[in-house]
Amino acid sequence: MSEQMHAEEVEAVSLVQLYQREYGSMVRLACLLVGSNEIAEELVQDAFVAVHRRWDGLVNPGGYLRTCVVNGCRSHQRRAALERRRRPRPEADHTGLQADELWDALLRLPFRQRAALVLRYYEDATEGDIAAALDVRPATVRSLVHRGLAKLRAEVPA
Amino acid sequence: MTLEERLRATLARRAEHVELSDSAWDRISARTQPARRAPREGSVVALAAAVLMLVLAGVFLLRPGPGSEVPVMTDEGSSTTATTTPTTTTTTAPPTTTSTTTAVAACSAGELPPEPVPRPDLPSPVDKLRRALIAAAVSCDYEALSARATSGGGPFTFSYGDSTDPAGFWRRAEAEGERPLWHLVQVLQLSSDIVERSAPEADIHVWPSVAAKESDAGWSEVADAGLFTDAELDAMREGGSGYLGYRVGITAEGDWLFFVAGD
Repeated sequence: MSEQMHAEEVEAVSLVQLYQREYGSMVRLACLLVGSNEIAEELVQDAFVAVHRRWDGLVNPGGYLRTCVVNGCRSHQRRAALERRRRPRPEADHTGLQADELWDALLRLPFRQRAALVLRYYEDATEGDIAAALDVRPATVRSLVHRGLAKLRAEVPA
Repeated sequence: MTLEERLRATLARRAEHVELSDSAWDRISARTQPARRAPREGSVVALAAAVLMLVLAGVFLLRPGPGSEVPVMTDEGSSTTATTTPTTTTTTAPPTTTSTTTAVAACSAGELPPEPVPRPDLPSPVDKLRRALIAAAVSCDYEALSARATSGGGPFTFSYGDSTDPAGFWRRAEAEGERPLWHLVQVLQLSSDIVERSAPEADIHVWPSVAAKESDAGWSEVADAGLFTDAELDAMREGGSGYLGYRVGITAEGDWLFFVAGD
């Protein structure tokens, strides 16, 4: 086996391993961020392709993957918001679950507040990991979580 | 149950219902495999093209150009004696390089007026940087902008995703039609406001002013500048998000802190 082929195999196996380890959790994270199972899968697949493109220079592929997923969700939300401004339509719950006040309120939060809350309360991510995924400072993470919770508290009866 | 506990439970319940496609890996594979092989297949073509270009360039360079002196081989005497070797007379003209092409870097700010609106109220380091940014942007000089972004030594925010290469980020955004350099110039021609910090030298001058403090005048200024449609501005204003368009922050000491859009 040539060296180049061997390197390819290692790369392929590693990407497969990353996929096997992270794909499900990343889709669940993306779904909580964008509210749609189908879109979440597309965004996570895009993120894997992005990881593959930069694989050689990555020290922490898992961390980079999560950042790509969060960024992809943010871009999707931005595009969706622009689309809604052009063609207002009622928000749809794509998950097929019954209406949930807290979930609805969460989906109405600004993206970074929502992402900080999802990463904190679903993924149990550390402040540092959230800061890295959102590309903000740890102090900003605290502020985002605080403001997000305050908004939810104001909107959802105890 | 506290709000945090309810939130955990809600998120966990929602996550449980997420379904995963069986063909996900196939789709990822289909998009990564060709990308891995393409450079090698393409490299043969690229190599052939490069060789061809070199050959053509060589032919072009060796071809006598108009007005140039060429080596002249004189062979007088060469037929008279076998011991006489042909002599080569070479006349070299002084180099007269005339550039017929001018490098014009195109970007969205390339045709904007380069003169900054006078702002005598700004501290000198702030206005100096503002003028330099406008000059660099209308010249489409990404590297000069990037150098300004990193010259302060502190963090510079240009994106909520990419965090390493502002010049590359702006180039890509321009290529995708987002026009960040146009926005940079337009925003810096508007009024600014100050976000006060613990010390006066740390105060941040923010453009446009509505990004620092919301006011009817600030919103009108952004609308009048044509940075967004009325509908987009209404959505920001009434949606409670505040101004989310491109904004610039410069410290009182003249360090560029951010040029970013979105939330």
